[in-house]
Amino acid sequence: MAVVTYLKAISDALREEMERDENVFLLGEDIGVLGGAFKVTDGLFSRFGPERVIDTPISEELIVGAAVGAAVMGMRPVAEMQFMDFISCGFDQIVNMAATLRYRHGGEARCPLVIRGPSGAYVHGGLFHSQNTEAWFAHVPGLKVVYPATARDAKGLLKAAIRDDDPVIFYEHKFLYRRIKEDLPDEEIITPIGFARVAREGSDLSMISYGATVWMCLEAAEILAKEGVSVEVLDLRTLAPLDRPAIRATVGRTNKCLVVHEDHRTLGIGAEVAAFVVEECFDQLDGPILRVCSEDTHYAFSPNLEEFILPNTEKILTKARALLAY
Amino acid sequence: MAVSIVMPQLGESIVEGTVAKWLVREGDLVEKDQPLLEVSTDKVDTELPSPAAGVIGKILVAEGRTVDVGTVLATIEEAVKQVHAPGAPEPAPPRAQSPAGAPPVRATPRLSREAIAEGRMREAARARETVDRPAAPREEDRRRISPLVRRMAEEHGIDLTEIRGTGIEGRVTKSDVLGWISRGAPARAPQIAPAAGRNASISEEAAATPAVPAEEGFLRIPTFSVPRYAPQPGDQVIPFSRIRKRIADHMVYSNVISPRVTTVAEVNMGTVATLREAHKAALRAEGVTLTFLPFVIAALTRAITDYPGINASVQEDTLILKKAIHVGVAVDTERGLLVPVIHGADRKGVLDLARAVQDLGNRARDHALTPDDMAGGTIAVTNPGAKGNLFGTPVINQPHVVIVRMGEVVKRPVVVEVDGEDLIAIRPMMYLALTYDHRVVDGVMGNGALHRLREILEAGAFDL
Repeated sequence: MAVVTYLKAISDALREEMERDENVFLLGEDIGVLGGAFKVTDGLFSRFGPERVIDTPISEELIVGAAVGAAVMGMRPVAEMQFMDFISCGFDQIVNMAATLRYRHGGEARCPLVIRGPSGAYVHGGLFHSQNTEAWFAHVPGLKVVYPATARDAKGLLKAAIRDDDPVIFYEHKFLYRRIKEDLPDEEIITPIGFARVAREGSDLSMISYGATVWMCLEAAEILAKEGVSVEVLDLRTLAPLDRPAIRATVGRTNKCLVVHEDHRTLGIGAEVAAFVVEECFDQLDGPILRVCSEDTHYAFSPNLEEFILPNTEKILTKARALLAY
Repeated sequence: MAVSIVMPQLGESIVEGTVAKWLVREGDLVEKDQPLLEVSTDKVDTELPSPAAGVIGKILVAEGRTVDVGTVLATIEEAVKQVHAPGAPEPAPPRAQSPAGAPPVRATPRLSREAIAEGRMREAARARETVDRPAAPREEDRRRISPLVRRMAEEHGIDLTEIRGTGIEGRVTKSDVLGWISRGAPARAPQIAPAAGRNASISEEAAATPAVPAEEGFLRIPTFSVPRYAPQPGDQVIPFSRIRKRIADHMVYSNVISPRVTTVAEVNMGTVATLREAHKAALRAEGVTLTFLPFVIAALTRAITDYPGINASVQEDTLILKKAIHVGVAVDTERGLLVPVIHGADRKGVLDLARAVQDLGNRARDHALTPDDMAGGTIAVTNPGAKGNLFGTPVINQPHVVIVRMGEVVKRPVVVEVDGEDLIAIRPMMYLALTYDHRVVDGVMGNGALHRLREILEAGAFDL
């Protein structure tokens, strides 16, 4: 057992997979000599050398394009986006190339590629360093989108993503990097992609979330428990494909559904969750499906304004109490 | 001009009748011959057709009341001609109408039992509200019912207007419904089908008074949705005839109301068979077939002398031991099963019983039974005849408490004692089943009665 941070768990997963499989290699901006902007790849350059930990020019299109090519040729590249905001520069390679290769070749081609990087706000990063871009990719067939909230899942899901034969977009929350510390076992952790996790069991209301807001949901649930309310928190972990049976199950248990995510409200993952619940669990609902999300505007640099835009525990409590009273 | 509707005489001996059910209400516009009400005598219900077209005036005799023949039940104000003129607009005040051109029976403006029950429940709920809930939320606030609560209400047969909602603006929540159920909510009235005759009015009341059954710990029948029928080529779709509907209602009611137990005896019919052979020919000359049935009826009337508790009826929570022995005999007709009655069966010999069986059977098949024939049974025998198989467990003909069912008479090797020695002999054997209502007949009586019946049949000492 060892206490590791969310960030170290990711770093360990990369190291273990590179040791296990020589086809695994890393590429990205400043990931080699510098060890990455957040030091996720710290020490890997000296351990595995410049051929397996490749510093690239500042071009996400190049990074993703090279990774797609390598993946098609049988390598297992792990490409780092220094911030997930800049993944848009590699959009064409992801959406039109990586996501479609298997389909364009009758299932014969594989593209075992992982694109990972820090995402999200709460760090006063401003417009270019705070975005939540997961819904863009969850919308695209052929991509898997993963978003761990815990150190254990960060490690287990990243290892599963690297071993996956299809492209996986792997979201890390920069706010969680050093705030989350967990005791992880020494033995290998593999967390299968596509399965949500009940982070807290409850019977009166379900909070469905992922990423950093899972922790705010848990905090809100703790506060509500002192008021005699039993809240279940479902951590989706994988956004594409969504774990629909888990969503159906939690709504079936509590009959009230609050979706919480950091991404903007309009056409966020919560919209899909809500639509699914209405389509499949309509007669289980004892109240409207409510959402706590970011306001539909850009993340402000000003801490006060950022707080206004982002979800937090207070906002979750307000909506939860309204839904409980319904 | 007013026309009177009077209680008709529905049989020679009948001097009174019960208004089982009004099919119209005051103010209804009716056509001539349109059924107005169901009149119930002991055994037969009849719909009374309207003697005239017009508007129902005052209804003078309420449902469930029994009145003498000739009593005025209601009046009809004869309609002015233009009401029936084709193309004339529907007159506004009268309610539910039979559409022009539809067959009168189908067009009966009949309120469904559910509709009546629903209406009374609403009234009851409103009455309760004024007592318990002075600050009841306005009706428009209650309309926000979540899909879950709506489904739970349907599953448990709950009228949501009876529940005090604790949600926002008085909305009824899941926990409100769960609390209501756990407190032993008065669920929607069980849909007990009416039995024949009088019982129709009893179950009518039960169905219309939702709170009573649940509060008294009475049985509750869960609802079950039969899968929707998808028409297939070659299927025949046969709506229930009136008699089939009556049989169905009666059987469901009986099945629900009486916990029945069947006990079976193996009866050596050797002596009876000998008697039958001896008298068959004489009766055949009269056009009467002598079967085993009259022997069983005769034996049953004697068994009743020792076990009077099986010749009885149950009316609500009262057991009525019958003095007279009127034996119902199941008769199969092309329209369905009928159970005409041999009155005073204990006063008849076997041959007269045979004649009575033959007569009732003939007239049942010729549609010539009168209400008198159907009325007053105290116990019943069913004889499926040569194709009756080993034995069966019949449903009790309500409100009787016992029914006897004959199996086929078959020659079997049996052990008999001759001069103190056991021998295997061939004897005509019959499995005879006696089904009793365990509400009022316990095992000792039920088994004892059948055992006595067997003794009488095997002894074969009959008054012919």
